[in-house]
Amino acid sequence: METNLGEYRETVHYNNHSGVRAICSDCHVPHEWQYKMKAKIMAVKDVYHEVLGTISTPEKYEERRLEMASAVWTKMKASDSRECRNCHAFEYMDFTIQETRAAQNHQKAIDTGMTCIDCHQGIAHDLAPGYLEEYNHVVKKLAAQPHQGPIDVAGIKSFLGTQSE
Amino acid sequence: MLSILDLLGTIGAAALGLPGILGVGLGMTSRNPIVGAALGGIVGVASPFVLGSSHSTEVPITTLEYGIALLIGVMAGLVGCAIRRKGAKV
Amino acid sequence: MKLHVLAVASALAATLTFAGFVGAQQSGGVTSLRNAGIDETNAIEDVYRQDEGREPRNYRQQPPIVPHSIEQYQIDLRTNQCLTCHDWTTAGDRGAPTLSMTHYLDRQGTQLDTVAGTRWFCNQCHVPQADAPALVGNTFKPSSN
Repeated sequence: METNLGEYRETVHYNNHSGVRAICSDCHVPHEWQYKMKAKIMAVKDVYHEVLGTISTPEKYEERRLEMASAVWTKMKASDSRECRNCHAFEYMDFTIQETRAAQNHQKAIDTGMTCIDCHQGIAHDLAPGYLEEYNHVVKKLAAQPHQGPIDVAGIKSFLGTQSE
Repeated sequence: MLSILDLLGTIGAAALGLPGILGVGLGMTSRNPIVGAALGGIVGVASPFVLGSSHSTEVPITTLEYGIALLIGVMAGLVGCAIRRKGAKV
Repeated sequence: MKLHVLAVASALAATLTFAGFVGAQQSGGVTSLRNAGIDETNAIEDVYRQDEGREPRNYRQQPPIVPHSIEQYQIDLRTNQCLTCHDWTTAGDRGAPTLSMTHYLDRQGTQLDTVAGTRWFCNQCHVPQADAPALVGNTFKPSSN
């Protein structure tokens, strides 16, 4: 867990102009009690693999990078980026002071019911090759499940730019 | 969503959360196991609804989540009831 | 007795070698990378901001400059995040300009489906526009205008 920590320390969530820092748990541990407990129980797997040394070398880490990222994307996509929205919410955004490009895309995201992770992959950790394909795969897998809410998969797919099925 | 780890996590969260704790508490208010189980069950069903929807995200709560919370609530209610009955004898 | 002499000799040799190193370093004249003495304080460089709007090209073959921040974009061997929006597969939906088709030609001039390796590192040519003065002065004038 040192590799991902090092990568995170290069990003805006660690050092930025406003001096607000989001630490690991701000993004990876939910605030709500029952989800928090669930996350902590599921984290047993992470501890197990850390002790086992599954990602103990840079080579091993690179090999598993996409798989691990995919697991987190699945979690974030399924929860509508709940942890992001503890700090960043569409309701609190002033589009007039955002970069034009960002403002346009955020408003488009509201209209099409997209979620943060649909665009913001790799904001705190490095991305593996083929990450966009993997993310599309995650979206498709989640959409295939019956209990999902009204997520506009077609809209997200077209935004991500996969015309081919 | 249906991995074993996920299932374990949901069960554990329900046991450590409102259904488990309040379920035992409410179960202890009754000597009748049916009442205890019913009270636990009510907490179990209510808690994902009350706590799960407190966020601005629009994630529907799955039936699996409700089911597990209900089950854990009922069990906790029964445990609470058993504590009451055992405790009363001392 | 012999051992004692040997010990003294080796100690002397070590000391002399060390002294030689010190002497060599002092005579070399060390220049620091920060171009200032140890006791001096370097002035902080100015912070330059993004220029608003899209700048026109200054000459015909100028690589267009980037009208947005690329601060945290990952461009390395594994991933090029610019391509998330600017690759031909995604540009249409993301409302971003597509890369020039010359960027899909390899050294032999073969059309590729993905960006050519020779064009992978965007910021070798394309830089974000900022209100900063030129790093290196030059007298370049475009042939037309």
